[in-house]
Amino acid sequence: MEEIDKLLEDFKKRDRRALSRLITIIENNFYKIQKKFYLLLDGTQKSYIIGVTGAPGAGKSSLINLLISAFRKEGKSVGVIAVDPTSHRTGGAFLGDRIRMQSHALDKDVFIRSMGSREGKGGLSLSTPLAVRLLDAYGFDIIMVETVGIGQEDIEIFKLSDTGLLVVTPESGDDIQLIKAGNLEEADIIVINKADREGADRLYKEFKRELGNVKNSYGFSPIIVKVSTVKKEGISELIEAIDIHKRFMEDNRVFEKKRRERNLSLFYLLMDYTIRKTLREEGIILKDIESGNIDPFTGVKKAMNVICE
Amino acid sequence: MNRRLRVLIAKPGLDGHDRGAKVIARALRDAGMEVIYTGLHQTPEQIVETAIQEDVDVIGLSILSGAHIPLFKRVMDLLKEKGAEDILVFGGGVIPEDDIPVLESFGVKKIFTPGTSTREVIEYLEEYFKNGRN
Amino acid sequence: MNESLKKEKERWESTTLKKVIDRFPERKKEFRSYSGIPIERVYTPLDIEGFDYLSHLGFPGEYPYTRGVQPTMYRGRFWTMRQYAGFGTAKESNQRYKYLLSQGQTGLSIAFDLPTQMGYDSDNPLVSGEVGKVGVAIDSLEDMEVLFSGIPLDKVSTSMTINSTAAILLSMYMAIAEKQGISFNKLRGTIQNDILKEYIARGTYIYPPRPSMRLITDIFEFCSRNIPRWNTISISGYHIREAGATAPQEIAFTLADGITYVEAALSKGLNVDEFAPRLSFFFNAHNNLLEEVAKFRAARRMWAKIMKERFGAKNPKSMMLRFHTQTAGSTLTAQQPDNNIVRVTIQALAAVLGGTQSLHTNSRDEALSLPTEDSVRIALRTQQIIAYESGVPETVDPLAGSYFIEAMTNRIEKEAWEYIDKIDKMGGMIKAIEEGYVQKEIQDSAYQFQKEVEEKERIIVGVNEFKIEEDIKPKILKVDPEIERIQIERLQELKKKRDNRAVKSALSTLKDKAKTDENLVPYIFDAVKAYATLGEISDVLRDVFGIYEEKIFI
Repeated sequence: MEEIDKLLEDFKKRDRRALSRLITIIENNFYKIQKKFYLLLDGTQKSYIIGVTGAPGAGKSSLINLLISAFRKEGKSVGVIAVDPTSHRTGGAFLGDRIRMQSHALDKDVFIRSMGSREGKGGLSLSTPLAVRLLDAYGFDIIMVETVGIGQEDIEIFKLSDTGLLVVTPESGDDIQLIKAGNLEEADIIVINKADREGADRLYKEFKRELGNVKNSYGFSPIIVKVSTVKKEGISELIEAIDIHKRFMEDNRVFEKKRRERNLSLFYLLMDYTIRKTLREEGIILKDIESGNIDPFTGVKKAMNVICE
Repeated sequence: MNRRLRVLIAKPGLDGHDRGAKVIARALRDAGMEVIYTGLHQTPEQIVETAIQEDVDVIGLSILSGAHIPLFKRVMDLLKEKGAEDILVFGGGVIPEDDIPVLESFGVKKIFTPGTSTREVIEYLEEYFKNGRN
Repeated sequence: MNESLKKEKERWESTTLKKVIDRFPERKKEFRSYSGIPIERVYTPLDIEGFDYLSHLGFPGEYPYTRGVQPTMYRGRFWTMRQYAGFGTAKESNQRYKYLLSQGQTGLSIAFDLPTQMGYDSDNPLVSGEVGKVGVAIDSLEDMEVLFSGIPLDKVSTSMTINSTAAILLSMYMAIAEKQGISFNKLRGTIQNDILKEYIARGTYIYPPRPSMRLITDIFEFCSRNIPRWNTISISGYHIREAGATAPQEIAFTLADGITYVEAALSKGLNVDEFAPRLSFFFNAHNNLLEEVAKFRAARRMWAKIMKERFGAKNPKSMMLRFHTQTAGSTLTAQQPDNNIVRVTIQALAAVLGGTQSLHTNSRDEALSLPTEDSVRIALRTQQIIAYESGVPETVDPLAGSYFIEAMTNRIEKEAWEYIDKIDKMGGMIKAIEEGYVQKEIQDSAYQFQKEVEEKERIIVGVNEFKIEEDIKPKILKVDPEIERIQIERLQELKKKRDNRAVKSALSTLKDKAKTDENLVPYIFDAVKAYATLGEISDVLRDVFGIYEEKIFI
């Protein structure tokens, strides 16, 4: 436990190793710091959080790489969490996103961390929002979170972010899939990457038509931006779109609403984690339910007693 | 219980032969580890900074160009400088027998020479970390 | 005839074979080649149904060149014995070349160090520790003058393993010829100049694909007009194979690269028969002797078809696949290194039976370090024994007509066409590389092979079987670390004594021209002659072209 205190202290001094160590603890044994975690969160929620999702190969990492450069030019510090899928069979993962961002490896105002999705749904476990909170507390101006988007679960990442980017390409047949799934308007900005390729204009028009009058739950109509990460084109337009979205949220008091919702969702995740953790430690109730000694309803009653003690 | 070994596989220097690095990256992933591979032509500075940000338990360096002595030395020096000498460093590639003690004197824990099976590497890492990270 | 043969085979299987197999089962349930191609128990005319001698093989020196590109092959003259060498400073390498020439080697093959290959000068902090390590360090024309001192360029053919910086090294070579008073049309040799396989397998790229392709076609154009006997590219499967590809993948990806270069040259307005005769290839010779022979034959037949049918070439020379071969470095073991001499012999034999135009045999100690002089000599002697003692070169394509060889040639060709079709459908090789498709296919093969070795489905003598306790340390060669310091000193002296105004002006002209479509070779040549360094020239182009970012897919 002393080790933890030392880490927390170092973290407050903005030690990068402490930051990365704490992320590891979040991933492996969050309970070790759960009780002290709030100490780190004084005055947080200052960072601007951008979620980036899309199919594998859409160019999310390359896009983030260029966004880092753009934000750095504005003098902003940037933290990145890149989540890659964990193999269900082996539990291993190949965390390859940061390859595209290696040119920023030595920048003291950029911090990039790769995470395996592990058990999380939609690429997001409790670890991701906690790691984002940690980067926030560390003081990054911008935080970007990259996840692999797979259908319905895309939207999980958007709940975590201030501005959510959905990256699509002309070739992947994303258009039909997305229109069918009805997830398009959940994104704040739709980025058509590889805009130099055939079909980009067609895709752009199709999305425009589809989304022309659509507004999301808080009245924002998604912006569509064409980008070519290979040719490094369209990045300033994308930055501008992020800005437009941000101003819209400020003008319409959406910001507070989003952040309240985020707190609530983190609360649920934490409750879930804490209950499971407590029950695992207690042990008997879970065993009794498994063996059929008690029914699930009785189990809840007993569990509530254990938790409230 | 949730603990998973995190490994950085890196290719310092200019040499572009990455068959071995990629095979080992894949084998470690299939053995249930989280593997970060940063690609070719990485400087020791980039490798060490990446290792710190990713909080890896292990760095594996692959070099076939003959420049292993200065490159390993620089990596080990930087790790010490940053207080990260607890990260296990191993190496592989075309490394003459005579050079192995030199690399070990820098703090490199293990050199795997050509012909090593991926299983040997996996077993070595699992054994090293069987009591958890220090 | 086939019907009766089929019946006979069935009879044999149910009688003679069955009796034996029931009592003595075969060693394995399934036999497969190195590349995973299933191998039958016995091959008969049934396995080459539809075989037509004239259209499938033809005569040596004639379309489709399956049997070889020359009518007499090694009865005329042996293949060129060309040992890749180079290390340390230009002066040391110059001595090694003179030694090799005095030992009967007939062509030079220059290995450059990694900084030279990547367009960095020796004093660049990024290259510390790499100077002179895997080849000779060349920073400027001054180093090249030392490298070729006392070697008349009209008397040797010189092969240079250089890609991203090929235009610079070729320009230096031309400048030496000028100084020796030798006209360009007497120069013979090859530059590797194959950038696509760098993205796929070898890793010494600098610029993105588009500008890299432009430099390559600039060289094609310049050479076809000025250095007619120069091989402007060596389209290389060698490194693709070393990275783990199978035999069919090796030729498929190499020929697909070849198609891309031809298309690029055509789109620049060159006539196919103007440059295609100077395209050459570079393949790997692996352990599986018969599969390898079949591979070389299949590659020749495919390239002839590609050039004739796809590109409408008229000149027979455009259809001939001429190739250099190197034995497979990745098969050499650090354990019991003398065994490698035997491996190299089998591989060299495959290359000769496959009709190679030139050959490098690896040295036994290459899995340990740079080769010693003794080891290099044994490697060269291996070729000489095959040439002078084995009798193999006395007749052309001696294995032709073997049911197995012909069936295998067909099979490899079929698999390779399937890859080429797939790549065409993806939109060509550059696209396939950008999508990581080619890299992924190769990595999958490499991983598969590694697993088979670890599970002992494949035996590597001395590695996973027949091991011994070894404590013999072979004598190995190390590069003197002083070389880096010496090289940096020379470079700094040069920068003081050259005409720096001329350098600046040549570099700024080059920069302007790089932004246009003009052929860059003459401007690189001017910069080289002004003693601009390799790093300075590369930096100018980096500024204009940008740098390539690696695509990794595991």
